[in-house]
Amino acid sequence: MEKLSKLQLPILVSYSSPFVLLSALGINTWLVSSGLSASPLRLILLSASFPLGLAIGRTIYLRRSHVEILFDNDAFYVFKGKRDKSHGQWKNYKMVSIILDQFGRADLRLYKSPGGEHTDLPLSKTNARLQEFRDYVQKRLLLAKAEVSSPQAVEAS
Amino acid sequence: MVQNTAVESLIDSFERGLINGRARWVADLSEFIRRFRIRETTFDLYAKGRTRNRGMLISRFFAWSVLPDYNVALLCVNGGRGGAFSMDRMRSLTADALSFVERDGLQWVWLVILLTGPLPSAVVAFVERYERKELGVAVASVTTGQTSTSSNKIGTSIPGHLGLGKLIERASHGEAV
Repeated sequence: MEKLSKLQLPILVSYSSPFVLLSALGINTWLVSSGLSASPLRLILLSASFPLGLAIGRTIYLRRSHVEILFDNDAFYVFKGKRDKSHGQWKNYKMVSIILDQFGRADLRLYKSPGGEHTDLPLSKTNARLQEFRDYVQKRLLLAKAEVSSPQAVEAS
Repeated sequence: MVQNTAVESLIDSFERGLINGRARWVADLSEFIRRFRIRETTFDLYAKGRTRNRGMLISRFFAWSVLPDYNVALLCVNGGRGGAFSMDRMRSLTADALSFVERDGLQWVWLVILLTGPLPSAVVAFVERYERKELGVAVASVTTGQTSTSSNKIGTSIPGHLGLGKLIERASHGEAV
């Protein structure tokens, strides 16, 4: 299966920044209580709060908000953090469109029937090339449709 | 075949521009569908949206208080597919677009027809005389750079507000679009 994903930096920063601050406060308290507050090592020790905070933030980000889309020629799976947000088979869908949300972010929408029930693939949160991926999906839907209408012809091709 | 590829690549660029908000001064297009069938015609690109922008806070309030909220759409088709572009095909495209206006309760539709080679004079005359306010028509050649639009407000907005004029000009000079 191929994978689409992207590190969403603003979300990672928003998760990490409180922990960077808390780590800096903790290190500073430890420095003061150890009598190292006037030491030249102080700045170096305080800077350790960045990797520490980022590591905690990254763990939370990966568990809760990191989006991954796994797909092959038959099916797709959308994961958000550790959760399986949605999955489906291309053959169950009839139409695909590019949809913009209120912030202008472009995602893919798969329709089971024109204007009916749909599933969204959050492409804006991955490194996918929008139009190319849409064309790929459209091809999958057309092939699935052709398979349903004429299974022998598709097998022959 | 090569010229058809040029038209298809121009439609891709045209769509990319619209996704990036090129039409925003006239309409907020929010959904883009390729190979969309209306009656007998398969349109290469169908984009739908509203005249009222979404925006955030102040711009949303401004849009809500000032702008009308109409459903609108854009249809774009590679007219060169399936042989020479005739007046019959032109009439059938406008009829299909108008039927779509009525079927989906749209306020108006942009209809963009892309061709290769010189534009047929009968088609140019038809487009320039076209007056129905629900349909803005533009026909353009990706090889000669010639563009013709209907004289109604919706039609005249196509080259400028949708960025079609610049794209056609670049394509006709052989530049990558």
